Amino acid sequence: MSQLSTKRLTKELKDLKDKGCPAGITLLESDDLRKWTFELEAYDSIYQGEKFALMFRFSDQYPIDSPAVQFIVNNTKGYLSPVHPHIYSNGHICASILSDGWSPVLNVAAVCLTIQSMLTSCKSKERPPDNDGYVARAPENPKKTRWEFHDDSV
Amino acid sequence: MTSEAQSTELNDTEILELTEKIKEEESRGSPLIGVLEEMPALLKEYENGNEIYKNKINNLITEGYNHFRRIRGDGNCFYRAITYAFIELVSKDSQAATSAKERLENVGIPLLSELGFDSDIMLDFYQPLLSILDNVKDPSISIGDYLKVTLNDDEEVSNSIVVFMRYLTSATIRKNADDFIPFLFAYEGDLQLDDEGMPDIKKFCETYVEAFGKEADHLQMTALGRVLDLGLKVCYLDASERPTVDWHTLNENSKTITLLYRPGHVDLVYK
Repeated sequence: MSQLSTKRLTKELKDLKDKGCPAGITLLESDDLRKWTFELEAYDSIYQGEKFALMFRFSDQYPIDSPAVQFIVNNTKGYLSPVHPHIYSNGHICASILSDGWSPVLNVAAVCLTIQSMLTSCKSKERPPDNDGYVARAPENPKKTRWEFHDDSV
Repeated sequence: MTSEAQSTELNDTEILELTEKIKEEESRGSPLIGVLEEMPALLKEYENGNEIYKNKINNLITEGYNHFRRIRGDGNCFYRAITYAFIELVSKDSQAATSAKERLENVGIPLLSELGFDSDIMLDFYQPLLSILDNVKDPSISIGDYLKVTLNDDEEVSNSIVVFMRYLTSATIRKNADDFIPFLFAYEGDLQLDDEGMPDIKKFCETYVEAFGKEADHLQMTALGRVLDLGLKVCYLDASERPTVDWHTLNENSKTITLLYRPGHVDLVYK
């Protein structure tokens, strides 16, 4: 791994462990510095009581390059993809912060908070209209999808 | 909300993004900073092409511009070009390298803090530049070899400095918003206006300056030259029917570098 990404990730991880994660977010795994998972809850929302697992994968180019972030779908562990208009059933998330809106000054905690707030502000549990078509053809890594953003309100 | 799988027709922004992506992919593999080449190598690009370019290049040679240096065309070319030429220029005497470093520490870095950029995060991006400015003062090293190892061979060092230069440019534009806003109205991309009909300069900077891989225009060039205390002479080579290239001077300064600008790309040219 590159020096810059190792340095930044080590620092972010230390901050998360020392200062703790934001409310509703728990670090599950970070043994592999390139792949972290969090458990995420959205209190006071229509997802109250549901627990989701969010996976981050980092390339050598992090933080210049955005991390690959998706929800884990794992039936044995009981993790499902949140039913949300911007989140596909395979766990892929359509959010500008993960593509064009990424900036190297952002970090993992900021991404977690953005995704948590996507859930908190959601009013109705629906899948994106093109869910089935997308999921059938989606690449394994969501960063390989070229996202379009039509709606900032959810 | 759709994914690529469904898109059928592309709008202008998408075409632009796709073009940028193709350019970025094509340029991979070419050096970040090319070796110094003689002008006939540039002429060769137009061998079977436009006479206008050939005439303009020949006239440049007559004016004494005998060498050029290719920069990778991945949307970061301006930032890589100015970094290279800036270090090359100040490495000619150790006092200039010291002043350049002091200028960054006393003006550039405080400006980033003033605009609210996290100093710890910025440190990771500017540390490589500061250490290069220290190392070029060592008379025993060969500057050309050293800059090749750092700014060409080490993509991480080069990219970190690009990111730093982008934030420095952004901070300069935002700090001097009154000077730069008039130019924003002429900007070709989508421009967001605030409630009073003024361009949203922060949004502009995030989209067109800070974003890695986004090409620079004369606005970004002016701002970065200003904060680095560096003059920029831009040699504008295009297909317009004139016998010579157009020259633009951005920031009059005793320390000046020369950029070879062809629409959508920046290289370096030398006397």
